[in-house]
Amino acid sequence: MVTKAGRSITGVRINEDTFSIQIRDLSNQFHSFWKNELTDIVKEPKRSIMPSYQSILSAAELDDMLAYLESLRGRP
Amino acid sequence: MKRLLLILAAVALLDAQVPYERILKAHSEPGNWLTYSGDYQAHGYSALDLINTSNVAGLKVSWMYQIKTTHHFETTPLVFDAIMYITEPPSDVTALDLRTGRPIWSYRRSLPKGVIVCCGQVNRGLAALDDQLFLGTVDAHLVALDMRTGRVRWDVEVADYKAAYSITVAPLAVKDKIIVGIAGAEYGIRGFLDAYDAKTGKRAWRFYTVPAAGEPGNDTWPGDSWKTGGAPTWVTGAFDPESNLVYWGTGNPSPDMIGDDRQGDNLYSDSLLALDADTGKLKWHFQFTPHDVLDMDANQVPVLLDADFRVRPRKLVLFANRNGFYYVLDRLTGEFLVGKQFARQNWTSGLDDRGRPIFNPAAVPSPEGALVYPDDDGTANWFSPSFSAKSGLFYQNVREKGAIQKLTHAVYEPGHLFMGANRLPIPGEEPWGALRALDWQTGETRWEFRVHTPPWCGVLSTAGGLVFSGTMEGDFFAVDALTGKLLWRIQTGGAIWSNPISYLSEGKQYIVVSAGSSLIAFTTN
Repeated sequence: MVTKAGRSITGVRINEDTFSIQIRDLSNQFHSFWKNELTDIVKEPKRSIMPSYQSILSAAELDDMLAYLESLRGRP
Repeated sequence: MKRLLLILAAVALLDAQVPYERILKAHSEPGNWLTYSGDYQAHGYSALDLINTSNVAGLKVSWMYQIKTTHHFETTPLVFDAIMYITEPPSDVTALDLRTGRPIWSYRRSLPKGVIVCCGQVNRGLAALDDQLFLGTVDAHLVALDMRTGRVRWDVEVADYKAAYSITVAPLAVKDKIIVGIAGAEYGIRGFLDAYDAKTGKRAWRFYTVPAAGEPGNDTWPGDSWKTGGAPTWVTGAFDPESNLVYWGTGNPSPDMIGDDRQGDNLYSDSLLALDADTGKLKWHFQFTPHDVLDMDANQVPVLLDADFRVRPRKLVLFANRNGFYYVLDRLTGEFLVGKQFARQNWTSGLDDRGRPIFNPAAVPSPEGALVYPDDDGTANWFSPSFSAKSGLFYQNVREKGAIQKLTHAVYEPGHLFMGANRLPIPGEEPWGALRALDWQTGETRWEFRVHTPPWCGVLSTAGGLVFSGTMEGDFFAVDALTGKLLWRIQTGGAIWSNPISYLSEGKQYIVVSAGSSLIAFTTN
């Protein structure tokens, strides 16, 4: 989103209605805007703000991590 | 003697608080709201102008009344003689003091177990006649209540709720009769419209919206398919006293969304009916969507208008249909005059010169899934339009939402869903909505006020130059009737599933609407 002052903010949409939008940004900060305070709202429904692990973990490491996560069991 | 006569006259007035003649002349008392759409012509319009474009910015909450249910609160209140009458879901009634919003009495209905309603145990309102109120119930009864106490005067079974017949519609009082429709076409009911004697509850007539063997129109149904043919009547119609005709829309044929076993036009589904108010005899019908497989119920409010049209005076009916087209018909003959697309649709390539749609075979539910606009909730639905003679505009809330319709199969079993498709969302597409102002003569959009999600709120236009409506996110707002410019809004905190109305109390104009579980009355200082 871009404010009339030129500030850009990226985050996850928490709420939206006809007149306002609320988002949580990448540093977990909450922001609320009236839509008439914004010059642009770009929605990317297929994009995740989760950082990619593709270049950090190898395929084997990714398998290991998934196996570890799968092994975790909480209390009943 | 004179005093005794005055007392007797007062008693007579109490016994007939809302005689038929009073509803007939509803225009002469704009401070009240005597019938579902405000008047028999169903304009959904208030001639009050104390709240107007110059002061609407100061509109504030006057009182709120909370209900104790989680069902959608779809009531359209009635207001007269300093009392407001509302329905509460599923099938309850409360009388409220107009000054404070405090309850005077309530009728709480004990419902049997196993009531089957497709789309929520809701109720949209009451009819008033003389000293009684009339309520349709989700267990398919019609109930007459004493207006002063809420006590039951009579209670009759309209149909068998165990076979999924239910009533959610506000009845319509016409002369000495109460006209009431039925719901349940998702379950294979055989639809009808009924009229009952207001004093006794005795049924005066029934018009089956699916003709039986041997009756005209039955040849549009193969075999015994008519017996479970649907065509419900769950939104309140209009009445023309001059022609003595009741106008009422009908819904989808059954099975819903699949038509293989009911080849033909499936009369009188998805139609507007003109019925004699005294006998229920069919004068004419106009079918908007023959052989419907997309759930294009014509369960919308017909709006009656006497006006010059194409250089001559005519008696017309205006109809914004769930199928995405706005129609103008001659209301004495059913002649098709205008059919104009007012929302996104792909199920037809257009209407022919008689208003019959030319179907798009690609927009029929299929095993792979067909892309269809609108989805089976339609562009319009039960929520009311509003017509303002002052602006010459027809105001309609519009749902802009498509779906992937996947064909399944439908097998009739009493009381079970009788539908042949599943609705899936269109990936990556965000549905939206708009309040649109249509030129009533052409259906052309003059302006629109866009809202975030497809709405389920009706529209109220007023002589103050305003149009009121609401959103699923709880915003209730007013726009300029001529331009659509936003003039006022409030966040109510609950989704708005109802029609706003307006009334006068102690010299002030009020706007009232339900939102979430609250009924909220607004006025200016």
